Amino acid sequence: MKDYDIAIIGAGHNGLIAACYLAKAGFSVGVFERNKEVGGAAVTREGPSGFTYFEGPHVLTGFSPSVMRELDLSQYGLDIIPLPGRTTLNAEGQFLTTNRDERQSFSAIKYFSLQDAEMYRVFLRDLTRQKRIAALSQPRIGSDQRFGKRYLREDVGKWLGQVEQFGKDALSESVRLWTSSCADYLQSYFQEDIVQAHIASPVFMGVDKGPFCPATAFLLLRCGFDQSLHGAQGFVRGGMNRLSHALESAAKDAGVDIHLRSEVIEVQVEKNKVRGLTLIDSTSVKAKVVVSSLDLKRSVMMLFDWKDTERGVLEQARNYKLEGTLAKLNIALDGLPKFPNLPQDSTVLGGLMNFVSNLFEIEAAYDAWRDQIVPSRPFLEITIPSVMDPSLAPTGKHLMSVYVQYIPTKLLSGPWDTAARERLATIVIDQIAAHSPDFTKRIEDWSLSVPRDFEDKFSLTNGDVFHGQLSLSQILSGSALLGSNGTLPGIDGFHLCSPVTTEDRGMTGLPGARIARRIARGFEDE
Amino acid sequence: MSDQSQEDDFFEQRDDIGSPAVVRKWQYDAIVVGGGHNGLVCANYLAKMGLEVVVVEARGVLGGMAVNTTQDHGSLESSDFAHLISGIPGFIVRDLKLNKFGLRFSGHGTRTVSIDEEGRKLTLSPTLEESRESIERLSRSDADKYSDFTDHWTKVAAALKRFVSMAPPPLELGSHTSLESLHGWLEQAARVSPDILKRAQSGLMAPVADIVEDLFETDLLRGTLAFDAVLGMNVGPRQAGTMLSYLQRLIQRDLAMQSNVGYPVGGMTAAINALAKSAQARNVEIMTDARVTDIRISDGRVHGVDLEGGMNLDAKIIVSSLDPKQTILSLAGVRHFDLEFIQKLRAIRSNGAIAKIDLQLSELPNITGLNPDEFRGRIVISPDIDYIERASAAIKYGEYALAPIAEIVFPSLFSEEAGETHHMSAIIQYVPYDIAGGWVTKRDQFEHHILNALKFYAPDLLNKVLDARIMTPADIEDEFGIWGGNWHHTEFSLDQFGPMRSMPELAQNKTPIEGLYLCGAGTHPGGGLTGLAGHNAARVISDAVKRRS
Repeated sequence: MKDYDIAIIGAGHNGLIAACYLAKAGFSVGVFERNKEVGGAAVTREGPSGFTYFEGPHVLTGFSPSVMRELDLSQYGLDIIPLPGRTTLNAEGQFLTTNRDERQSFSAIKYFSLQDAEMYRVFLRDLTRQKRIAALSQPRIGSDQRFGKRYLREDVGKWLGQVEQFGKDALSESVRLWTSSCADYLQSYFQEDIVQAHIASPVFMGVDKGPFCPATAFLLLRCGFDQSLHGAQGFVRGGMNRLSHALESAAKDAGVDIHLRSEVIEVQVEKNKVRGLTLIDSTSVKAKVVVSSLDLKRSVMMLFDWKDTERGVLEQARNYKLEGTLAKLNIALDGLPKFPNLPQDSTVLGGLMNFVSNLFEIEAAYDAWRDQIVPSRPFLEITIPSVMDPSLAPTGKHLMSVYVQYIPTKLLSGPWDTAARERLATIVIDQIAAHSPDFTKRIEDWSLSVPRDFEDKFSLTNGDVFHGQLSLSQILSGSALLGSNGTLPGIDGFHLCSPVTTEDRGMTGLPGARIARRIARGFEDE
Repeated sequence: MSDQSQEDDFFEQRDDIGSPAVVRKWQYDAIVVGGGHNGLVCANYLAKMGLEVVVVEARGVLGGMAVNTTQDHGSLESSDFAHLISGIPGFIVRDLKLNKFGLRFSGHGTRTVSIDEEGRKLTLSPTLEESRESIERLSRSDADKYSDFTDHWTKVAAALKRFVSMAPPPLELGSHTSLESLHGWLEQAARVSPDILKRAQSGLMAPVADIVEDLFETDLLRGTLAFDAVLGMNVGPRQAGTMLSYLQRLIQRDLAMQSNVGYPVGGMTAAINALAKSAQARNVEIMTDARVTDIRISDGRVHGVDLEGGMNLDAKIIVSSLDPKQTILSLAGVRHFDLEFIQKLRAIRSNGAIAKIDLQLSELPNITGLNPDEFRGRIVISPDIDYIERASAAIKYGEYALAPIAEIVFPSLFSEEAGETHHMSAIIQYVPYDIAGGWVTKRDQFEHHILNALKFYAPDLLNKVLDARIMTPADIEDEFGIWGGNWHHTEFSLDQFGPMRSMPELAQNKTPIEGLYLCGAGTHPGGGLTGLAGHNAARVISDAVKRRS
């Protein structure tokens, strides 16, 4: 096997993006992927005759425009169809649709309450302000030298001066956002149950907490309610694997070698310096730098032999919390199901939908998850991507993709066997059918993945799609273990490009891009 | 010594605690509303500053929730509500010379015996060796780690204790003074060693479950430690903010023990008596059965209070040890505040989650697995993390926990006058303030359920019950006038902590009304029987008085 400047573990989108940037910067780059195809979780597969099933995410949220531009991804066939809207349909058959257009969202909320509609504007303005404050170069917490008197007086003082520009109440509002429960925070703006539930609905997908849990309001910052969240939000035309294929082609054109079916079992380290990789077939690959797109826990616990180095790192990684909460259901339909309470237009049916009436319903599903049982009413994110992109299903037919939230990785009652999976699918189908009389009879086929399957297929520990839960303490302690370049203490030449390196855990592509830039800069410095 | 005898002599002359009928004057420098421990501590400090102070207490007895004596229940007298004494800090004992006023301390703390459904037990004692021995019977490795754990967090607590005896910094930016006072806090923070700060940082925000599960393997040990963290909270151990609560408890313990004074002999009743005596020795007027009906406000500042029965007292400083909602909504009146402020005040979470049950028993019950000697500590039912978390979920939906966590003590074993009967007191958590269906209809069912739940651990309990008395959070509201019946006055949580307690506008013990201050558990550092909030308020008032003169 050829030697590389840089070896990358995992051909998910972040791994491929890092590979592209590094190859373009002139390094020799090899990508090593366990599976037989690239893409990580951003893959689709052939369903029954002519259907395309989404194995992982069905929409992109916040994909970086600069990555798209710099890697010329539209040239490689990446086309993003903007998400038309999000709709909440409650038990009484009322619905609320909003999108990133503030005026349209305002009118929709006004139907329920003028005050809530007016507060929506205030809410968006406040969130935008909080995003800006969060984006200030904060006094970083976690690395030792940053504590001590000078840091506290100067850095914190400087930061406070910057925060002050956002208003008298900027700091107290910040503290409120980062410590409150999502429920309390939303209730301070909105009175209508459907409005509260609607706004909370994108927040909790993949999160191991419910809306009434303390310190969950800050998760609102991740959601692109309006234009203030940068990045593309929408469907990838042709299916999510088009993104992966565009990145694959871009990487190959840049000179990257992509090795499929090449599972890495160890990162070779000598005298605290990375030397290369060992593959599962014992092949040794020399590399000066290794970049891992696996999650923090997996990277630390599976790739290194920690006998010689610090055991503290291992301990911290072991205590790092990854929790699976999402299941995925693909449903092949012989036609577009009717939702009598919803308008039959593409803004609604072609967007994301959920059926929650209030925050308590979401919380109750969370409580079941915590007790390791399947909620009687799991919290759904439903989309029919074939409405916007007919290529995903045979003519006249439709594909429905459902994220099922608050599904435990382990069940108290026993294994995730066929019976348990069928029970879950039935619960989900029944919840949808309650709003769509012809839904059940339109089903041609379905396919379900539970969190355990995400771990097996995509190497996501416990099936955690975020590569690590977004709790307040974890945000602090995660950055304590990782250096600013995604490095691990005591190991020179190893970098992580998992979403854990950024506070926004969506599919942004930024972790890959940022790490690549920093590595390239590091080489220049030497 | 002569100083002491002087004060004692003075006290001898006036051992009456006044009622409004025998009050000597109408005008004071400061009126303290509420004669609980925080009110009394504050009154003492204000008097020390040379102010003329009156304390007005609505009930017939002093002590508020600390001393839960109700006149109509002679059979179950004098049960300390917060029967675990977290302790008055050594510096307050010294400042107020409480030992001269009859406060004595015994050197040892309370032993905790924790039991589970399978009859396992675990003893955590103030002496590490005893705890280690007990843990070792369950897990060798946990016993080894336990000393590191206590050592680590005790160090953090000791380093952070400086932050509980001062009002938190204002978060409002833009004014020169506020930035300066933030800097003052940062200066304090800079004195804490970087290593401790770093450890505290991630720990403070963590759920206690993460900390104890990462370290220990024994469910009973994890559950017992988590119990101390969630006690008095509305959430379970898997939620953010619970480690902060644990740390708060360690800080209180550290403050109480810093002079090695130990715990008050005679419990909180004795501490309250000493505080009252020391206040009177400082010329503080104390009125009981004096219910404030109105705090008089005009032109944005206070002028005095009206008492039930038509009496008025005048003062330019009014310090309320009641909860913020009671103080502002019921006594001051919403008309004096702007709408947004009132809306935020109403949004403060203040519902309690604890019920208390007092049983008069013909004799001591048998508790499975415990010997009578172990009845002298506190007995905790909190067997594992998931058990607690499940219990906590109930109140979100207006239900009480079917399998609650509980702390049981036998106050009659500590009483100096041994009686014929015994008294068992238990606190039961998680019990909703607003129960679905209403407490009027659910009360009997709840009482029945709790007695049966206790019967599981004490099979012969029901045969020995002579009298039972249950206080739900709604009862606590009625009895003590605390909105929501929360013994921390307002929920102790990350978003209502420190500079956010109970809302940013009130966190410095001040209110938007000039001269109206808060000194109750609804201000920093919150609940626990420390008197720190009273102390902090007095400091704030002292600064204000100095600035004016």
